[in-house]
Amino acid sequence: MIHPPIANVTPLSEAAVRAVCEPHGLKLGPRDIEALAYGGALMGRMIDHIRAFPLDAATDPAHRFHADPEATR
Amino acid sequence: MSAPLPLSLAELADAYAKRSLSPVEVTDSLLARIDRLDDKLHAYIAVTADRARADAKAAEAEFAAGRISGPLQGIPIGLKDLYETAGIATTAHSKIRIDHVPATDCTVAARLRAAGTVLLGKLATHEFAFGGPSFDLPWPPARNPWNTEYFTSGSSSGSAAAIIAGMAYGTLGSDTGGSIRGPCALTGLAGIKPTYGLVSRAGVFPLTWTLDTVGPMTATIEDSAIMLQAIAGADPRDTTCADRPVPDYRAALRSDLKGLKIGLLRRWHEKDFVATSPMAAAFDEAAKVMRGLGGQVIDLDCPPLMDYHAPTLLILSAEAFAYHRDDLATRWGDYGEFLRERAAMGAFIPSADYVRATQIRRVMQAKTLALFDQVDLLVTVGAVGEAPKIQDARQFVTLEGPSFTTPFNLTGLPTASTPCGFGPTGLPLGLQIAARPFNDALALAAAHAYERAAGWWTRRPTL
Repeated sequence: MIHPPIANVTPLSEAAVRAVCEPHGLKLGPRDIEALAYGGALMGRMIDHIRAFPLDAATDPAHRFHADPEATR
Repeated sequence: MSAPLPLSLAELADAYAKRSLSPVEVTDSLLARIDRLDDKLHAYIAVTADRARADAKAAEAEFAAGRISGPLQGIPIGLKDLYETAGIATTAHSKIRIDHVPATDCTVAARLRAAGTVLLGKLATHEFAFGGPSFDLPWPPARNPWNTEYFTSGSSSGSAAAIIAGMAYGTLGSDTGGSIRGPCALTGLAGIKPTYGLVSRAGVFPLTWTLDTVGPMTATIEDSAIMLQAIAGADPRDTTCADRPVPDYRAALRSDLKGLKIGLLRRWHEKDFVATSPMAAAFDEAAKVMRGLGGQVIDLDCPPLMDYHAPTLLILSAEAFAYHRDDLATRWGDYGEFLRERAAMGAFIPSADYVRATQIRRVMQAKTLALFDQVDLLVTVGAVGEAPKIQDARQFVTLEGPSFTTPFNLTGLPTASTPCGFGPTGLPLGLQIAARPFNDALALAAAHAYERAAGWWTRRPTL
């Protein structure tokens, strides 16, 4: 099911979608490319958001991921 | 058995203890109900009738012998089909794992079995908890029992449909971006996304290792407390599972909110992602109820929704792609369109941006924990409004706009879900109540007090 785009983004080109996906061995059909062109543009918007987020590059991502650091074993 | 069955798990447990109902009779009644209703609801992808009857007979024998191990003895449950069950196919609702029959139970299934539950079957989910609602999978998507044209939300779709339709007394969902709380909100259920690290995920198909949580979905918060009690606690099979004492969740339930400071995060549904008018009105009404229960309710400023949602989506998509990449390369056509195209979004994320998202997670955790300097609990809407029609569920909805549930996945906070009214279509509206890390007991206690005062939980769809 392909829904008409509602977000204000410019879909990626077919070449851009192929360039991202084919190195991973993904065998895309025309419907997949249409969907991923839209989805990839939306993901680009998410990436733009986190790149604009003010962040100290030395921030430790904390690999144990406990919500409460005291609970980490 | 002619009298109607109890609505809640706790009531059923009381009836068993008094020997006014028998697990065998109740199990047979539920199996008959599943047989009558599930052709149109599609909550179950496999009904384990023989196992259920055997479990029920075993529970009945224990009651007959005067042995009551706890409130889950003889309680009929269903498990989302991400949960490995020994000798029973565990498919993730996908052709990819359609022949997968595990040799052992996942940790939480083993714990529920040891508690004496009766396994009715395996429940529908979005494909691998990520792709749905899909119509191109081996099984159809679950339908919302309030109106089968409408979406249950996901991914714990069958878990929600089974409870609200009276086809189980307890189910487990999983919650990576809202997959317990979304379905609870859209079907009018109680549930809790536990603190990340409270409940073992060992033997549960992963979606996103660093966000996945396992939790109960039930008719009432008390029922969720009972189920959480059985599944919480350290597990050597899951190294993310914290080794710390598990409190008595049911004993901590309370009937008022006296002494508690409650922060309303209005910004998210009034500015960042505007909720429907009925949802906003139900939220305001819920705040009044909480004040009436003695809570000190205040509006609380908080970070923007997208500061939580964007890093969550990057982390989720990148890890999901990592898990599925090999199968996507060799079996692309065996996945449903929704799963394969959502998972492929991970390919679009540069590695440095994935790491940046995990760094932002730490920042957002700190910012959110700081909110608890002012309050004991955070309250938000559970969804933007009532359920959409299932045919209108969109492929990239979580990339098109934020959700109200992802902040609590990113921060790992315990978050209870409870119904807070009904919209003009006659479908439920939901509320989220979050507490400090590992204070799941307080989230449940507050949600229970609200639930009992508001009374929405007693409504059931006519089926």
